[in-house]
Amino acid sequence: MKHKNNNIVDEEMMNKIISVAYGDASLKDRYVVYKASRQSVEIKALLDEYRSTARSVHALPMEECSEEIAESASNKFIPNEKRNAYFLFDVYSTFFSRPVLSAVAATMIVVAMLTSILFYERNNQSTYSMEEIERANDQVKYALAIVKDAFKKSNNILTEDILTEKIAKPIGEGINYVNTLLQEEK
Amino acid sequence: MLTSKVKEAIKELPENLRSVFVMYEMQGMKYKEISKTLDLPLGTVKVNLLRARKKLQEGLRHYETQE
Repeated sequence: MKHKNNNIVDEEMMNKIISVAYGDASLKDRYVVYKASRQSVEIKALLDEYRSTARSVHALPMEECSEEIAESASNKFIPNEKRNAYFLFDVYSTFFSRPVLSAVAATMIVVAMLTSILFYERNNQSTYSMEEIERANDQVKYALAIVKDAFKKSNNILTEDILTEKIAKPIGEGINYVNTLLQEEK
Repeated sequence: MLTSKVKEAIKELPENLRSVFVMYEMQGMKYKEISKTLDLPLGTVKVNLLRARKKLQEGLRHYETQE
């Protein structure tokens, strides 16, 4: 890196130092600048110098800025509808223009979803009382008894009415008829 | 750092840089708001702010060397 070898701060590092000093740098830039400031006395001096200026600027009361500028920047130039749009833009840019924040937000959403699902499942399990469970058990037994009864009835119809009356009897009669015919021929 | 020196250095800034600097640093306006108010592209606002900060620092250094 240029600032390490030649003790000269390059343009990119300079911009990062200024942003860090004024407090609007990204986390990554902050880390880079703090790391560099530990290694280079020059960078540390620059950072301190800009930070001191930034503090003085931010400490200046609003009334002391020139009227001309204050007027040009006055809120009256920005209608309410546009302010709302800026608010949405700010929310959007806060979460989606910074990968770290969007990753954190996504993690939080996933954790919240999982937690709510787990709680929901737990609540569902504990909502049934013993009485309700017993009643449900009885109802299931009753339903199975009805089904069993239906099966039994159909089994009886099949074995007694259909197999004996409508199939076995005609077959028996047919065989008897054939036998009598054969005996007559002899 | 003396407040009066800082004020003087801000006044010495060129008009285009001073407007952006004061709006952002002192009035707490966002880049987008400044861009709309001054009818400037967002990139220009950011560049002007950076230039203003550098120029201000140079001005303050100049005051210190004069003393």
